[in-house]
Amino acid sequence: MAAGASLGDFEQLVMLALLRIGEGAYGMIVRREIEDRTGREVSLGAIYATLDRLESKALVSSVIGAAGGARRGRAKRFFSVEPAGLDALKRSLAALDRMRSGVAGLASPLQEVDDET
Amino acid sequence: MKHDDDLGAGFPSPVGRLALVMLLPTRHREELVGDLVEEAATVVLPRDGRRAARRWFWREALASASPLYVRQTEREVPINRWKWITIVALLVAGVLMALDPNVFSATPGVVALVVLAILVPVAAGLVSSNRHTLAGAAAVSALLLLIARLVSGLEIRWYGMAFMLFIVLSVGRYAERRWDEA
Repeated sequence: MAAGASLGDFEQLVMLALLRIGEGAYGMIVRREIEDRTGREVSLGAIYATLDRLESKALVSSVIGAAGGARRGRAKRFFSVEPAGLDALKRSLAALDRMRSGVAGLASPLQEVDDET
Repeated sequence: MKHDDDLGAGFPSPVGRLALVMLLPTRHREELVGDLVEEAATVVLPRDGRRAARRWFWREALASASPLYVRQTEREVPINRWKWITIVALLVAGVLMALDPNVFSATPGVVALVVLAILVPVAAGLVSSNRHTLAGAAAVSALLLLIARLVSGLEIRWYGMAFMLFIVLSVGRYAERRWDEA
């Protein structure tokens, strides 16, 4: 499944958020990372639904952690990206870059940085 | 502006917890509610106060329900064919029963029994894919229809449908399991 898996727009954002956060990524933190970086408001249900879909494709994995006091005894579920997920993300981003390449006004991020400096 | 430093003892209340159970699907519910409680207590409460934090919590819980149910449907459609057969069969039975003039001429109590007999297995089919739960709901449905028939003395033609469903479910799921094991 994972070998040919393609990722949707929101799945890419969630995977990137997981990679940025690294260890200790759970629903609330993933949402905050996406909101802070993109300005896009998302519901926690959308985050969990996407993580569940990615996990069913074996692109991410999860473990249950300890229940913290601020959570009134409810455990956290920590998510991490699997190697197959990293490959799928690289393929999706590369495909996006190839599509964007050469289109007027849609320069790559590196070019934009060069232009600004 | 000084704010309360806690969401309140036992938040969400027992009634609130029951509402969450009814609002959100089982999968990931505990983690999601834990995340919302944590964010309400550590981010929203210090900034906006208790009332706003509680309001934020319920707004977020409501907004989270639909994507989780959509995801649940994605997961379950391919594997729970008997659940959908059950629901369709019972809806057909319900329509046929509604068209039966004998049911219309019965007392409100009998009509209520008949309606309940339809709703019980449909509700069970919506919330569970467990073979025993569905078969049990079908048996309850059949019992309710039998009572309606005995109490009213009227001919209610479609009460046999529930018994048929019981047999279809039991044989169908058993056959499916044997097929999977083979």
